[in-house]
Amino acid sequence: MLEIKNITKRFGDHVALSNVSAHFEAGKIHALLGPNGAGKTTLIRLINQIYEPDNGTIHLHGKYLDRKNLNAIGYLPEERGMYTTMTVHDFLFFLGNLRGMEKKTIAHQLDFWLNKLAMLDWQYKRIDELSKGMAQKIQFIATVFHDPELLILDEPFSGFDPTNVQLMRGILRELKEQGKTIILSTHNMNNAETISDHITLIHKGKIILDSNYAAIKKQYSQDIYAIQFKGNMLSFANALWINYDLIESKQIGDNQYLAKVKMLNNSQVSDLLKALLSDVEFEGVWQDAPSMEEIFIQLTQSN
Amino acid sequence: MKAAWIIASREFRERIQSRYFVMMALLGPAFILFGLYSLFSLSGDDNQKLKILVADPAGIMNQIMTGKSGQINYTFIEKYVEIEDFADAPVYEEFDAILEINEKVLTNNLAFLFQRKIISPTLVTRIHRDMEKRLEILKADEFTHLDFETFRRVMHSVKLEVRDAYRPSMKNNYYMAAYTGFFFGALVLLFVFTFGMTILRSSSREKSNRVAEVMLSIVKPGQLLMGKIIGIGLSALLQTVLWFAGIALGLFILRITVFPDMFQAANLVENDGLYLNNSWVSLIYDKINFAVMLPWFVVVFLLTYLFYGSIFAALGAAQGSESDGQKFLIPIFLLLMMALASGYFVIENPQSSLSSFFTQFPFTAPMVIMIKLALGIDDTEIWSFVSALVIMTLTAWGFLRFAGKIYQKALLSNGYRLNWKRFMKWGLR
Repeated sequence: MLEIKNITKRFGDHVALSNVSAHFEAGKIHALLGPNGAGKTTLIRLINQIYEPDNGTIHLHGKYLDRKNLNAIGYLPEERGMYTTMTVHDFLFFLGNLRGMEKKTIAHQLDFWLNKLAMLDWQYKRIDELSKGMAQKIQFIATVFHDPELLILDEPFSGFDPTNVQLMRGILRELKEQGKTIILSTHNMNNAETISDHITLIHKGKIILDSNYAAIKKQYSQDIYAIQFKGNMLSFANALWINYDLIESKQIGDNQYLAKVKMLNNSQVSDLLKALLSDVEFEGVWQDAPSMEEIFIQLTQSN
Repeated sequence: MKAAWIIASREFRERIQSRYFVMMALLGPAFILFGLYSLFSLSGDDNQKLKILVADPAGIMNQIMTGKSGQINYTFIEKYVEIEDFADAPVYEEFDAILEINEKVLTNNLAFLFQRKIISPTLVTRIHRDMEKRLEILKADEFTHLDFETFRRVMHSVKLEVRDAYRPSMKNNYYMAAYTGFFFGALVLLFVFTFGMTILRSSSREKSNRVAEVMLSIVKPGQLLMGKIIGIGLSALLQTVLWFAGIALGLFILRITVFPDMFQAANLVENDGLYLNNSWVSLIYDKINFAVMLPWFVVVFLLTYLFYGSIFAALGAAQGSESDGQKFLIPIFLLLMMALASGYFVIENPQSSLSSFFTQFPFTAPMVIMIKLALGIDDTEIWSFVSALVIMTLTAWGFLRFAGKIYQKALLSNGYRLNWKRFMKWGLR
């Protein structure tokens, strides 16, 4: 859907993005991750045509992306800005007009979104009278109410309480089901992990990871399994043979243990369980994959 | 262009709904009307009667100084009066001033007038002339054998009227016309500076509260800039119209309430033209050609606003902090001051080569053009006038492009201190 090809962007001597290429598939939620100053905002501004690249191209549906396509994009910047002396209604109407929407469509969309986000009663209030969370919702409505096919959301959950975070996640999933493509730039790995299908990690102006979430998890899981059991720890350790490596164990209750075992030489966890079945009573077995945060730290530090 | 109009319309509505705009629309004309009323009243002081005590111990004036118009009433005493006594003694309370005539006045040509309150320069000139006439008679008596009447005929004064060779029937009042133009020019600069500051603050606020990023993801930087300049410009124009309407209404009310008999035929005949020969009343109600001045005021205002407004917008977008803006405002303020000073210079030296330069230099041209319009532009000046307007238009266009580039590069940049090098680099590359 959105194809970024060999993009380079410099500001004076500083190279913000160096020969970056990425593909954002339609109908998916893509997490765009990276430490501060990695180049995420520059990439987003390039997609939004706020900046022009020094080299490289951006394509939408196979065609060069230009300003005519801006209505296909909804952009929620990290640092929210609104005309605070305007009312919610006037501000959103103003943006709708700028996007060339018809008055009837604007009114319909406003009604729908204000209702969905429980902001209908606030539409004639001045923006500077709203709480931070409410202002965030208005910003979100300003991003989606023209029905764009590509949403670029920079830290969309910041400023929301847990209930509203839950609400927003639900809305993003609904939008994804409707076929929208969502690029989610965030530092919150938990959010990235919870709703993203695809991860793109930028570091020092280069993409160092670009893959779907399941593949990344598999790639970085290192075939380690956590096994919770009742029985004797010594018997458990003695039962492991050369294809399994006990890397960590701890007692969590009376005769109750949690052990982490790494599979070696393509060995399978089912074989291990069969071998141990006579010695211990299993309470739970799961793959102990590293969190996105651990992968993020590991990758950014090694680069 | 549609996006620029939508932005302009938002800016326009925001300005005209602000309390400051309404206050300015009410207080501005009220302030000017108060000033005009004071001028009318003060210039009416020329008709006040003055009582002057002439302390003339040598009897030089010989009690024959008389205020010709009857405005000045001289009382003579042939002794010295101490100034402290004049100031404090009740016996002298009735006098507005004391004219001290020393017996050496015929040789040192020096006399003193001590006033209780400021006497208008016109009346001082009249007292001066009365004294001179008396001294001339004494000298004539000493050095000639002419009697008084013959001497007065020898000393016959001539009034020299300066008129335009192309419009000989029109009375020429150069300074009054020139300062009328100066007033209009100053009004242009006042409005441009006031609303230029509004552009600066608005651009700077949009940058600092990050609404600029939302806007730039929808419209081009040039559209945002044009929308802002047009919207604020329209509100400035509306403010101007409100000022002129308010002032016109106020002048009309003054005419029918404070000066109801101003233009009655009987008074016109009696007062040889206008109300009590009050030059300010005459200027405002009769001499200013509003049909010429007002449309040109709008044209010159728009051109001046466009190029100064672009600089203010560029500065608002480029400033890294509030102190940056203040630092860069000083040169702009100096340019506006220079425009005012150029007006004064051109009035005093209309034919100098520096005046020609000020006519063409776009920063001073608005003031000079308004002065020239008030004086009347003859055939020899038409090309100079047209070229000044063309240069102003081209400069406005150049500055708009300059500001557009700065908007594109600076509006989303943060965390720096603005300097001239950076400012020019952004604007020119």
